[in-house]
Amino acid sequence: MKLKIAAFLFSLVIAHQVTSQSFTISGSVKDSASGEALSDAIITTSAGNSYIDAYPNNYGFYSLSVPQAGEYKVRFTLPGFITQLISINVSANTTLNVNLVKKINTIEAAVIKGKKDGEDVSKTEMSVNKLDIGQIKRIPALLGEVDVVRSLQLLPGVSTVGEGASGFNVRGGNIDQNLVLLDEAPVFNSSHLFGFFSVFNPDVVRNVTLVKGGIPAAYGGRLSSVLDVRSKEGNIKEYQGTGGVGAIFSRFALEGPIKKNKSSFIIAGRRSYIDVLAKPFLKNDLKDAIFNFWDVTAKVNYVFSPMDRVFVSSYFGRDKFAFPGAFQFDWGSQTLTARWNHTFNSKLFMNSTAIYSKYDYRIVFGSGKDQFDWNSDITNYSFKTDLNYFINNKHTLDFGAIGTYYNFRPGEATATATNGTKINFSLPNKYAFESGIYVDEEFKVTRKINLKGGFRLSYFNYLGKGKAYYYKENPDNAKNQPRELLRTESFAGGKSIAHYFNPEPRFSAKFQLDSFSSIKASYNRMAQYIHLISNTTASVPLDVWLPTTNNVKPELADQVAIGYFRNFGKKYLFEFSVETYYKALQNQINYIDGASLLLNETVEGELLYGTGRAYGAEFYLKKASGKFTGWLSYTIARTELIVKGINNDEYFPSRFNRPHNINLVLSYDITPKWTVSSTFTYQAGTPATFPTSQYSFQGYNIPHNANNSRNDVNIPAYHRLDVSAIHELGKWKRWKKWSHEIVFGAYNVYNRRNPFSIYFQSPSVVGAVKNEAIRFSVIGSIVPSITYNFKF
Amino acid sequence: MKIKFLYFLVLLIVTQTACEDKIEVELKADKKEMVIDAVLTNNPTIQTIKLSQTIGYFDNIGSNPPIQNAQVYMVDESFKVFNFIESTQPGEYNYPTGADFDMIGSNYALFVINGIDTFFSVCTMNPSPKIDTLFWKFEKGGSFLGDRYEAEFLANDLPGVGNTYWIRTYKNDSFQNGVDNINIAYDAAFSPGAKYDGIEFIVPIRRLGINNFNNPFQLNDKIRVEIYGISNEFYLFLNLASEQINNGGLFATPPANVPSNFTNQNKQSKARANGFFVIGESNSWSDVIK
Repeated sequence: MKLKIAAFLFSLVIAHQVTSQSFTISGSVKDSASGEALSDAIITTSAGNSYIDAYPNNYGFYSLSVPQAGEYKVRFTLPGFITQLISINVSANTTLNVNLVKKINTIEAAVIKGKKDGEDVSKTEMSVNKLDIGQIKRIPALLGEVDVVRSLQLLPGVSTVGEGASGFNVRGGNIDQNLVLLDEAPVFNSSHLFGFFSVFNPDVVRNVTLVKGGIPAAYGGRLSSVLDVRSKEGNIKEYQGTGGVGAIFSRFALEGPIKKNKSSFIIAGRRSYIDVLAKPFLKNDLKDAIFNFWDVTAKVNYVFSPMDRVFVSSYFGRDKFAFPGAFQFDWGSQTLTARWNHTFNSKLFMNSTAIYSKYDYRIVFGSGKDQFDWNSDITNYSFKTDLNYFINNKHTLDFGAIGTYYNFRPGEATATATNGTKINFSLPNKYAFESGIYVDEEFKVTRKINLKGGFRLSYFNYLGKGKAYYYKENPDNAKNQPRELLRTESFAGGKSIAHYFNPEPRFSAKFQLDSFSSIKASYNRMAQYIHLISNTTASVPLDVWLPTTNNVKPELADQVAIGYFRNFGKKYLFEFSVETYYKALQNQINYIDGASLLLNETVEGELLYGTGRAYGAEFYLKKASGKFTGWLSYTIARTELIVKGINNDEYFPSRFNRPHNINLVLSYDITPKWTVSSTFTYQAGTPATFPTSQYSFQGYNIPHNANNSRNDVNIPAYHRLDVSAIHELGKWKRWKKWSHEIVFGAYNVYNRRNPFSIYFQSPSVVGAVKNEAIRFSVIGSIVPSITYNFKF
Repeated sequence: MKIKFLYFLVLLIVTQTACEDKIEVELKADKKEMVIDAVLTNNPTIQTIKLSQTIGYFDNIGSNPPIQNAQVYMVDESFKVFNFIESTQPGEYNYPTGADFDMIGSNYALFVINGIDTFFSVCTMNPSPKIDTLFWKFEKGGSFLGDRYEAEFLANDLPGVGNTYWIRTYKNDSFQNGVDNINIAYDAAFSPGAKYDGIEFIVPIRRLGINNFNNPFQLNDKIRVEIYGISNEFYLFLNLASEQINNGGLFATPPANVPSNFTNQNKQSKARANGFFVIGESNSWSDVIK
């Protein structure tokens, strides 16, 4: 009897095994017109009573598991593209590659990509904003030039200290706390022209993703955010060109197949000519001024096999500012990446990348015999591997590792004296190695509950050839003064001067309340090992990147965030979210009064360290499609620091504190040929330190703050309205393939002189007896523009 | 700092839409702190220490009230006392001649007693090198400047790392170094760096720093260049003061108080003194442009 029961149970087990053998359907989702990967597509199918959904990775690769053999209807959707429903008979692991077709109806084609299928509500990720290039192109832009980073500033939680700031702040974090990636290569200065435009050429950008919290374990090295910009790979089916002629710069991009469906390229360039245009207005010596920037993006890729594809991408950009013979200042970035996508099998996908990235700047004063030359740069070489393992429909595992070698050149300066001798006062180079290894598991517990848990272990090694500096600590009442150097210790090349390990747990969860609303929560711990040293109001291209050393400790951040997401309205066209966060920051770098940061070998003796906290709530309402589209965002937040030696050892608001930040973006398609847009932004003023008194010393009139405080006053609020109108001219009769449009724009429509800073100075009029407060505005008038864009 | 100023100036011109407006701002109240201006040399002239008070930032410049009836005296290492007597100018306390301050390299202590407060400071008398020669060259006018004489001196930094100097220039006995042209040196250059010890002062210090482009030297002008040995702390003080006075624009740094080197011996009192005490050797070269 027992034997029969055992045999029966055994056969049940076998039968269960056989019937529960699952199969995978995997493949790629691409744009049928260009072959570009569509990583935002949603793939769904059903098996019995349960729904199965899957999302492609950054390269368009997806994998889903079906419980048994049989016929399945798999649906591929992406707003802006025609949904495909494919019936497929599965009896083994099946490859299903899909090419989605863009909707050609002119109104809908121009529609901002929406999340009609409730995507925002159902994915686990939170604190993420994805910008589609179509959305970016409709936002009224400064001087008619659309820009990725300026568009990001309209999202909740993102701010800047004003026009001219070369970086942006996310949830109150410093500009160096954003990991800015261009096709996986880190970018150290994401701006051209002192922050007015970014290095991202909109003709080449494919996806822009900003992660403000709940940062996945695959990313590390910066505390506050990840800005992942992916550019197009190049139309693999036919030649295509885009470009434009504008008031400040012109652009041209050409892409196409090298071998149809096997290999493609894209090359794009931009060049500004503001100096050429301004020439007639500049007098005397100023008329030879050079002030321009250019950038080039060049990419090529090759499909070796259905399992293998190799990509090579590069970016070169330069800004130059010069008076020939007197003064020259140029800076820029260069990146080069080589990437290999390999599909092992239907469940395992790998991407390996080798990266070279360099940011440098150079200043030259004088020329020939009487010259001063200063160079500084940061170079890094990385290798990373990322694997996505789609275990089954409930579990996805991402894991990988990255190693980066840094070479910092903080300042190499030579002065040539009149007698021809060269005096060298350079700082020695610094070297470091940073690495990270991670694992991240996503567990779809039920259709309503998703959990994602990851762990990243990061490691940083400050290497020789170099010196360790040891400083004497100042007593508590004298912290705000340079520390005395006690001794130095030299290390040979490759020897470790200091090293650090940091475990970085990451966690996020989603609880779906119903098909249209959800609650998400996340926690992340981030470590940052390289730091941008700057004590100016706006960051200057002269700012120096330094590694963690035996004195400068790694910065750490712990962030918790919780949010509520809901789609509502007719056809669920409206998206709403409210998210609150709290970020605790450690080892934040601050400066003694009057710190001398450039070309200073003992710069570490002028740094102070403190603790910070940033907290706030972000509200976001968006209408994604229809004739009328746009969004409203409101952020209420506070960022503060406490540093021994500053502000009488009490908490003070950080430079990036913006208590209120409101952005309203609206776009309306009046007719198929005309679209008007407007942007309104209001930001409460940033904190500043004002003097209270003055005194006379040796005939000099010195300002003084009797309270010895920092950032205890706010400058007036910043607000601005921009408008633009896009007139689509349609196709050109002479060459049907050429379509074009004209964009009219006005930035700062009501002419407000928004204060960037308020500074104080002695009387500007000879004979006057009172000091003055000056409001400095970077843009103080309306700035109109016309841009002509074309595509073929 | 000159780098940043030039940078900002050019950006301003080229963008052509940036602007600066004078505005009215309300500031927090002044706290009437004491200011001690004690910069002493060994020149055979009257040495003056000025005592005054801080005033509100928007009060009339120069209206700083003097502090009278204070007791000011200096003591050297041999315990010799030098009394500074209040002159007919309120707030100015004089000692007849700097030639009495002759212990170069040793410490001098300054005491300023005002009411219940005793402010105290110590400074080592810093040496300075002799000027080897002073010469000038005629420069033809260009687009920015007219015809003028550009002067230059030659002198070597004293051996030993860490000598700091204030180079002061006088044209027809009036002091030329305005706030944007404070000429200070660390060894032979602008800032610390071992390669500059004991060599000739670099060109920007010995030429650019002594010519004031708003008021250049002309024929028959009397020129005096003085190298004044200052303490490292005073060098930092002047750097910081210069930065604070010239701060502003796109690349401004957060305003910071310039620290003084006075301590209040009366621990019960919270009063602070601003300003600085420094004493040093001075070497000059005078000539007339001909």
